[in-house]
Amino acid sequence: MLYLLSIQNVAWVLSQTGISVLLFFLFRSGNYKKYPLFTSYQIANLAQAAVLLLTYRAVGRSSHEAFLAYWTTQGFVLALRGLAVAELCRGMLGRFTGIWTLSSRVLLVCTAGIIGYAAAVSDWRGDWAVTAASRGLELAVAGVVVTLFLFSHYYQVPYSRQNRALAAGFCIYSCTVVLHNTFGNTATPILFILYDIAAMLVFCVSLTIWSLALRFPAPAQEEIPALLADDSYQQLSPAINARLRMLNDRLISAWKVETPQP
Amino acid sequence: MTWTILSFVALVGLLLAVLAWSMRESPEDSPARMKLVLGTSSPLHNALYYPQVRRTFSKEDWKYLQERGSPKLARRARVERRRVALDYVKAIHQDFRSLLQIARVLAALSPKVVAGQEAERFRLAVEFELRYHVVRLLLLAGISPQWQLLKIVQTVGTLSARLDAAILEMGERASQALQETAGAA
Repeated sequence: MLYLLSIQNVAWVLSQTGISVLLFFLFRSGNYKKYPLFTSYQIANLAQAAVLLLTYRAVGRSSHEAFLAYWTTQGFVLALRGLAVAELCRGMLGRFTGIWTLSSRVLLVCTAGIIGYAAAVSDWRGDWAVTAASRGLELAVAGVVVTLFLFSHYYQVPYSRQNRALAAGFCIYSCTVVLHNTFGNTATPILFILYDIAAMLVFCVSLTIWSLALRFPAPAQEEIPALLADDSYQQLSPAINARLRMLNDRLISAWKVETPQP
Repeated sequence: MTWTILSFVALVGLLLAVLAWSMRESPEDSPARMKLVLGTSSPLHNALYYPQVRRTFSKEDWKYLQERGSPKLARRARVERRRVALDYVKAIHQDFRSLLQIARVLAALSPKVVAGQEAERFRLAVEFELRYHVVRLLLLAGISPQWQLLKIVQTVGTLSARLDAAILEMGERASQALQETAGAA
């Protein structure tokens, strides 16, 4: 058990070092200007670690005060992560006014759906309520990132390496936290520590992905030229849909088959 | 409880798989991805060859072959018919995809899009892909389609050529603009 706690401490130090390195790269490359909310999220991560370190020293790790301190600071960190994901979404699709309006609605519906699902199937009794809430939010973060990339893929919107790395890091880590919170509910203390170490190591992987991508300045994105007039879409989109329907109908007809005559 | 754990594990697996799928092309490839397959002809040019294809499948030809030709010739004709049918379905698929690509770029560059139009297009795309694969499998299995039912195709040729030109021009402009933007990004 003590051996495991030492490994947990090493993993924790490793993750804090990773955050510091990432912040160094963010400021050195000037990417903090392009990703201010992501930078704030990383600073909040460091601040949370400092607050928890002081709290644990003062009142111990397993006290109620420590529990409160952890989840209160975690709430702030999680909110900032949500904002950093929103910043990513806007950075990727914001230039495309039309599809951004559409996708932001779809993303909101997806978020509400995922949180609703997580809330419905979670155990809300006692201390597990905060874990359930955290799991729902993490699942929503992963869901939003995946939906964002599905949108980009569908509309063939170009995205930078930096945005891709940010999305991958967010999604991988959020999925890990979801699994940690799910299995942690029923785990023995030893298993719980093992899950905790695994989650911290995955966080280090995310930090590495982010650091590698953000060590160089992100390319500046130019505004999309004002190419289409408002009514171009209104005129052409229904016509294109009519043609797609026609091609679809042609296959419906081909669906009706007959066996070839001998 | 077990159900909850399983559902969360499945959700996480699904999310990671979809993310990997949607990220499978590197961002450097994005400008190439956005190239529209445009020629000087209509995006529906393959579909317009329907009368010729239909003639290949006429019952009269089939009867003539059965009466006058050898069984070997009839067999060979059947294989050829299947190949033509497969090629035709594939060509319709190409038409559909090129039109869909134009529509997506058009939406991406429009200041306003209509959710209903986009949803309908998405539904049509999913339906078309499913049907295309089923029809293709049926053809590969040796079941030939009832081409006599494909009368709708003839109406395609009567659609306004002006609209065709407008769609083509818009597609080209959209493609060019997106590539410029991606190059700058």
